[in-house]
Amino acid sequence: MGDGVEMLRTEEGSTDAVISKILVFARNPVVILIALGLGIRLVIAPFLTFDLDTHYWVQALALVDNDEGLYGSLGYFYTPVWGYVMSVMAGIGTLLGVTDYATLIPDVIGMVTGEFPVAPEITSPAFNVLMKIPIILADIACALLIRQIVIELIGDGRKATVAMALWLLCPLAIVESTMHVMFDSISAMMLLLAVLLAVRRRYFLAGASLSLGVLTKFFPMFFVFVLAAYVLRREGMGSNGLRRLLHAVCGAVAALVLLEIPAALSGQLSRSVFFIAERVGLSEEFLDSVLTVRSLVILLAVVVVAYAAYRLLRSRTSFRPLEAFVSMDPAVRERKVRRILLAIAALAAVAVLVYSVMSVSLAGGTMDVFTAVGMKLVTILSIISLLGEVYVAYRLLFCGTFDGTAVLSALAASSVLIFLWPPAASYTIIMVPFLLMYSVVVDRRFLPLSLLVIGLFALAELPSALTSLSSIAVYWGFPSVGTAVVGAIGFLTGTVAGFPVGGLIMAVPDVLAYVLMLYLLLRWFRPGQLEAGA
Amino acid sequence: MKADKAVALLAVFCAVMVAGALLTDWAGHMGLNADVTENDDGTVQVTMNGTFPAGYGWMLYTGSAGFNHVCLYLDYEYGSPVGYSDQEDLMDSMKKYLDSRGVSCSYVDAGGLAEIMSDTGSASSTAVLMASGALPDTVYGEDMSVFKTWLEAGGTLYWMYGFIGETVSVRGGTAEGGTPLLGEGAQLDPDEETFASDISPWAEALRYRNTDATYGLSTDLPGFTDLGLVTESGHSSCGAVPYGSGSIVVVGGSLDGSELGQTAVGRNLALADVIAMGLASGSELVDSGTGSKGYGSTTFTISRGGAEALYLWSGDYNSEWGQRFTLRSV
Repeated sequence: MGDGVEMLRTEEGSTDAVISKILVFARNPVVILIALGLGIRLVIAPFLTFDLDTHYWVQALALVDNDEGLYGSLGYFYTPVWGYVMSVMAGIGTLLGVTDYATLIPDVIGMVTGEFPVAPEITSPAFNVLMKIPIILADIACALLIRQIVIELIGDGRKATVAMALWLLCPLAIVESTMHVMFDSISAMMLLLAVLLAVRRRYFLAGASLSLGVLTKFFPMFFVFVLAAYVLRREGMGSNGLRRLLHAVCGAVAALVLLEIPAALSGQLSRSVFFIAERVGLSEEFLDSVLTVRSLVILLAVVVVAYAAYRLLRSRTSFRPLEAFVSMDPAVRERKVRRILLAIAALAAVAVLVYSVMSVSLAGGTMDVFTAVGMKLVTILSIISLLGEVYVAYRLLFCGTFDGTAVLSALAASSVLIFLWPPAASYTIIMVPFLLMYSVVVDRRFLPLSLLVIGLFALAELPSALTSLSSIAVYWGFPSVGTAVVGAIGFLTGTVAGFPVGGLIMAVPDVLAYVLMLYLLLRWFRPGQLEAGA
Repeated sequence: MKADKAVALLAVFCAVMVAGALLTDWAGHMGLNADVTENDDGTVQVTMNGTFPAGYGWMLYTGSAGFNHVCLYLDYEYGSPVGYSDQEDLMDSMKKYLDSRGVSCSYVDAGGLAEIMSDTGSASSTAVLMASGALPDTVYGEDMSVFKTWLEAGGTLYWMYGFIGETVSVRGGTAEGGTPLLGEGAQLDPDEETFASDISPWAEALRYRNTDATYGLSTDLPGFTDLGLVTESGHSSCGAVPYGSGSIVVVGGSLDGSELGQTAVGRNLALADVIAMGLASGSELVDSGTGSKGYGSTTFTISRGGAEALYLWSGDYNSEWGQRFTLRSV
C-alpha cells in the first residue's frame, strides 16, 4: 500500500515536471517565434498561391508518372534536387489521396501568349499545400540555422534570436515559400548549413552541403570563394589549410557525383545540369560534347601534370608565389589585387562585347547588334560579380581581425554581389539571411535599408499576388473564377503603351530594390566597411 | 542547433534525395486497369482497379479510326529539317506512352514505311506518326502514289512539323520544292500569327493546351475536325482532315518544344491519348468526365449516348495510363 502511494506521488511529481518543462519550453521566445513563423505560413498555404510555377511542377510530375524520369522528355529544367523533393511529396500525396493536381481554365487560354506569363492550368489547394510543405520546413530550418550561426560566430543569443525573428517574419521569405512555391529556401538552407558546418570545422560535410545547395539552385556557387577563404584563414594558408580545403572539395564532389548518378546512368547528365550551365552561358550541346569520360580523364591529367610541374618548380627554383603574395606589404598587395581584378574585368568586358558584335554583325543589322550586346551585358555583370566575390574573399583572407563579424560581413557582401545583374525576386532569397545577420549583428545602420530592399522585392511579387486566389476560386468556388482568375489575369496581361500591366507593376519595386542594392554594395566597398566589425 | 542536429539535417536531406531518386526512377504509374460492362439500358458500368488512390477520366466518342498498330517513323539515313535527337526523344517518349495506353507500336524506317504503305489492303489497320518534317522519297518521290494511295485506302497519318510534302527526304539529304499534299493556305505559315486562343471541346476534354499552331491545319478545310486550339486566322494547333478513306492529323508547333517550354510533355501526353483513342477526321466527342478513387477499386456508371467508343484514362492532371474500349453497335 505504502509503495503504491509512493509510486503515485512519484508519477504525479514526474507529471508536474513534464508539464513545467512543457511550459518553460512554450515560453521560450525561440519556440514562440518558430510557432508564429510556421503558423503564418501554414495559415496562408491553402489559400494563396501563384499558379504559374505550380503548373510547371504538375508537368514535371507528369514526366515521373510516365516513366520518363525527370529528363526523359522536355518538362523539367532544374537540377534533380527539387524534382526528387517533388517526387517524395507526390508519393505522400498519393498515399493521402491527393489525386487532382490541376484544372484547365479555357477562358485563360487566350491570355497565355501575352507578354506577362500566366498559366491556364490552376493547381488545386491540396497540391499546392503538398508542394509548399518542404519549402516551408526549409524556411524554418533556415531560421534555426541563422540563429545558430550568429550564436557560434558572435556568441550573442539575443541578436541571434532577433536575426531569426526577422527571417521568420520576412515578407519575401513568406511570399516565396508559401505563395510562389519556389524552392530557393531549400537552396538557402543548404548554404546556411554549409556555413554552420564550416564554422564547426566539419569541412567535408560543409562541402557536401554547399554542393547540394548549388545543385538546388546555382546561386550558392558564388559563396565558394568566401568559404574557401574562411577555411584557409582559419586553418592557415599552409599545408593544413590546403588539406582542410581539400576535404571540403572532396565533400562537394562526392555530393555532386552521388546526386547526379541517376541522371548520368540514364544519359541525361547534360539536361540535369542545364539550369546551372545556362547561367554560365553554356549550351546543352556544348555540355554533351564536354561531359564525357574522355574529357574528365583529360581534365584529371591536366590537374596532375600542373601539380607535378608546380612541385618540380618549387623544389628546383625559388618559385614561391603563394609565400611571396602572403608576405607582401598589405598596402602594396591591396593595390596589386585591385589593379589585377580591374584589369581582368575590363579585358573580359571588352572581349565579350567584341565577340558579341562580331558574331552578329556578319548576318544581322544594327538592332541585332544592340540586342546581342544587351544580352552579353548579363555575362559581363556576371564576370564582374565573380571578380567581386574574389575580392571579398581576399579581404576576408587578409583582414586585420579574423572574427565572427568579419565573416558575417564577407558573407553578406558576397550574397549581394551575386545579383549585380537584376534578379527575379525569388532568387534574392539566398541573400536575405546574410543581409539580416549583418544588419542585426555587425552594423545596425544597414537594417532599414536592408529591410527596404527585401520589402521591395516582396512587393515586386504583387502582380502574381493579384492572381493568388485562383486556386480556391476554382476549387472552392469563392471568390468567383470570373473575378479571381479571368479578371485578375486579364488585368495583368492587359497593356499600357505596349507594356503589360503586370510587368509595369512588377518593374517599379524591382528597379527600386535593384538600385538600393547597388547603393548597399557601394556603402560596403567604402574603405573599412567590409571589416566594420573587426 | 547542436552539432549532431546539423549533421542530422544533412542526413535527412540526403535521405529525401535517395527516396526521391528511387520514386522518380522506379515508381512510375500505379498499374491501373479497368473493366467495362455494357448494360442493356444504354449505360456502361466502369470499374477502375488499382491499389492506390488515383484520379481518372473518361471520354465517350464516335468516329474512331480503326487502326490497331502505330508505326513510329525514324530514319537517321534520310535527311530531315528536324534534329534526329529531337525526333528520337519524341518517338521514344511516344513509344512509352502508347505502350502504357495499350497501343501496339513499332519503329519504322523509310524502307519499312514503303513496305507498309504499299500494302493498301491493311491501310485502315495501321497509323503512322511522323515528326521528320519531310516525307521520304520511298513513298513520296517522283511517284507520290504510294503515299496518296495508302491514305486514300484508309491509312491514318499523325504529322508534326512542316508543310506535308513540301520537303522530300532522300538518303543523306533533303530536297526542297516538293509538291505540298494539301493546297495553299491549308497549313499555317510560320510567318503568320501562330498562337491559338480558342479552345475546342476535344482539347478541353484532352487537357490539350498547345497554343502553337505553326503548320496547323485550316479549319476551313472540308471535313475538318478540331482537336486543339484555333488562331484568329482559323488554323488549329491540332486538327484532322479526311483524305480519301483515310485521315491526316496535323499537330502544330515545333518539335523541340521551344515555344512550349515545360509544357511540351503535356502536349505529347495529350497526343498519345489522341492516337490511343484513334481520333481522326470525323471524331466527335459525345461526353466526358473526371473523378477520383481512393484505395482499391471503384465502380461508376455512365450513359453512353450514341457513343461508339469509350476511352478511360488515369492521372492527376495529365494522363499516365489509358485504354480504349470499342462499344458494341446499337
